Amino acid sequence: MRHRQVAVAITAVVAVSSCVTVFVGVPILLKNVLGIGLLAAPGYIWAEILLNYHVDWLQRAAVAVGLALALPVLGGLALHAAGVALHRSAWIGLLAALVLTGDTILLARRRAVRPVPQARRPEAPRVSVHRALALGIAAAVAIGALGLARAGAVGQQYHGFTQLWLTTRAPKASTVSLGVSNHEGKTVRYRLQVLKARHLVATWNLTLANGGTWRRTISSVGNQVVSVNLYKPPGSTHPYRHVATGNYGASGP
Amino acid sequence: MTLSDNRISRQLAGRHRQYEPVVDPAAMRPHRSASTAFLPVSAGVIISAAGVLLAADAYTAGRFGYANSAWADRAYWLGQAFIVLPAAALLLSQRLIRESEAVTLVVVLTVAEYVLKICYSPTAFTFADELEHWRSTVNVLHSGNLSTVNYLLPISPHYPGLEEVTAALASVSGFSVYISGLIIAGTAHLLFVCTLYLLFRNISRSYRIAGVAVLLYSSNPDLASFDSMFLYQTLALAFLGLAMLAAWHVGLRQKGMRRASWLTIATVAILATVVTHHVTSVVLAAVLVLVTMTSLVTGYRRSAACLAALTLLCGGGVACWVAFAAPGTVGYLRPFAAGVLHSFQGLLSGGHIHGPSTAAAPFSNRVLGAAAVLLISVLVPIGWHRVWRRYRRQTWIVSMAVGAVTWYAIVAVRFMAADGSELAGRAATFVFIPVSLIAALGLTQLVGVGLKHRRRFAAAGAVILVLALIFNGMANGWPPYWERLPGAHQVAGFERSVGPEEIAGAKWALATLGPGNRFAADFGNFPVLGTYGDQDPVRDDSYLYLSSNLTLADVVKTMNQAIRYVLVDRRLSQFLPASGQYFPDDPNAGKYKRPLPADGLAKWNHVAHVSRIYDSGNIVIYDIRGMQYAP
Repeated sequence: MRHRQVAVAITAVVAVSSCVTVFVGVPILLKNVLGIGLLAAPGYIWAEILLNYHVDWLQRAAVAVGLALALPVLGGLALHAAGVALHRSAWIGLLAALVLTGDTILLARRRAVRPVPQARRPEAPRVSVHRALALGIAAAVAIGALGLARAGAVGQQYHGFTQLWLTTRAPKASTVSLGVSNHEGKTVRYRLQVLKARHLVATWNLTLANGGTWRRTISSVGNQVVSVNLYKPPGSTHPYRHVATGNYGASGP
Repeated sequence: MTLSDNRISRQLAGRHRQYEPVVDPAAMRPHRSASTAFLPVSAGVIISAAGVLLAADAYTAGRFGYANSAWADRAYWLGQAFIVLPAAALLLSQRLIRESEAVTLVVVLTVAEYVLKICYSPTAFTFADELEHWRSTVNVLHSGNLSTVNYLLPISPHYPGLEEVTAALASVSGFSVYISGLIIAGTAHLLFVCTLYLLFRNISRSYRIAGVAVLLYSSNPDLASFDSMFLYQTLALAFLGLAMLAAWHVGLRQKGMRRASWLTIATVAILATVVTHHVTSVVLAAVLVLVTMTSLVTGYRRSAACLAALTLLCGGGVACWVAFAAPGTVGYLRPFAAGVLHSFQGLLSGGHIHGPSTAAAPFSNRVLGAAAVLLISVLVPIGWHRVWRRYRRQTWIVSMAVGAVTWYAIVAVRFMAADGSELAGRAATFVFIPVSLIAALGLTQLVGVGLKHRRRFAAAGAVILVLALIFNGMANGWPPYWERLPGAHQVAGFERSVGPEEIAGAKWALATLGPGNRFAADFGNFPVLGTYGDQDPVRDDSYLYLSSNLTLADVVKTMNQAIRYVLVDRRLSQFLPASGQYFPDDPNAGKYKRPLPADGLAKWNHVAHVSRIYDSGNIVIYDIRGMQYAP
């Protein structure tokens, strides 16, 4: 029974602490740990309530995990049906309520129900030192594999690119939005030319760092064709990117 | 007694007296003590982890330009062999293993394959189906509403289980949707495998048979991919496993309180399945019907009554959910059902229907696939024979034996029906549940007979057989052979079609054009646009890319489809499609001999009142809202 009291205390602390985090900011690491604990706690507590007899550790664990996954699903649906928006406070409230209700039932049962004799309660198998060591080494190797894969994905070389866009709210709007975004992986100098009815009306020389974005709104008149050419590097004669509104076929690249 | 089930049988036989005690001389017997084991479980665990590292190394090599390198491919397969071999060798060896060791092997195998799955896409979801659920989860997090529309998977908000629990974890823990999704999918996947193991153990009363059955289930091509991805089926399978385990307990003769507890657990698991995934909930209802019927036939009427109650709950739940909460389910599943029906009609009328073939698999994969089909087709009848001799009074094993008949149905579908591989692959997740247990009974029977005659090669042969089955699942499963290793962009691929330029274009569309615009896009950009971009892409749009001129019929069709924007990926005119099809609904799938003509893609530059609004080099987006027909 002692381990159950400890479990009740721990889950109650997790539930109450999580409720506190709705109002008080906490470090992200603590939030991560409390969050996982809060999601797992209802399953554990309700498995203890439902399986208050001889069931081997693996089945007990399976039921606890299954309930931990199922209770938010059914509880969330109930909240949704009740018109509650499923934001953070709603989830914390739901999970904490499940935990604290379960804790209360377990505590109330302490005196009402004759406990299962300890000798009859199946215990989890003891893990030998060499097995624990092997699992630890395996976990470290697996984490290393994940790190290697992540480093490979982050370091994978892609062809850089530059986005150029020219949009209007409606086909005959009086203004158009123009933008350039650099994803070349390095700082790039561009020359941007705007043409209206095939006449050059504006030129910008831009220097954008990787990830940098440049935006402008320019005026447009009714059916007037606006086309934009982006050159890289400056001095190049062939447009690197090209966009246009309306029928621009004759002024295209 | 089987060598492995002493403790389990002692625990169960006394309480579950309606089942005759299992005395199974055909099961493997120990010929060596644990002290003479050739491979300790601890060493096996480390070897499996080393396999993960080796395969992850092959993935990294693929990303750095060696995706088509023979040695990277060999490193991947060697890593997979390291992962699988310890579990296969130890579970099928002559040595005595404890249950904790069998569980360790099953768990390590499952976790190792899941870690490897993460290594394939270690920074974000890239598979189309995962991206669809990522979008649904993001919608729930942003709106707090389960009903927010998902343009790419409209049925998803009607089965919100996965999104709910992932949003709950992301909300309370602060993890990203990606990390939360990996935790939930991984936990659900492991739970599913563990509940399968427990069910097999409980009904066979042998944890070694259960371990071998799980090993054989691992040869299901979908287990390490679709059944562990961030998909609603992954979570529903965990609930299905829990529901079956609880139903097994409900069917036992036991005191009212215990039965009530398991009834409660079964109810929760069934309801959670019903609201999480359509097909899985229907399969669960079918399983419960089968077990109830078998229970009646085998004479356990009280068990049948309890199981009938669960069957009614599940069937009623599915019917009510589809009728009131998810009426779109019928329309969503109708095309699949019609396809299956059409295929069977073709089969029954003596026809031999071939669907559009996609990229043909290598000869070695096809040989492996045929060998695997043959092996399982042989093992299942041997398992049936064993069931008849030893277990014919046991409800659940008889149910599994009946369920294993479906194996031959999916074999017929796979080889003879239109798009048979796709259908058989989707069905394998469920069909393999009974098949793996019955085949495990058959396999252990063979090994037992072999060992009885002092033929030590029997265990080695069984290991080779299981490895062949599992490698078949990997080779012919997911990712496909042409995306086995991650690497450079591929036109009309799956994960390798999701890169920074595609994602940037989709995010630009969402930020600039707003959500829900009808878009025409190719196969590779389709899922990215529908998820990162939250757009509403059109599946039947090949006509917009294939011809060099725009006809009046094309214009009318675009208006009927309410298409506003056309995304053109210039690489379609440079490379053949990796998947065999350029478009989501492609009439020429599998028939392309050369890339698309460039003028078919460039024609939009010359259509009156079409604006070229976005250009990122490979990707160009046209606004066709003001389009006029000008022949």
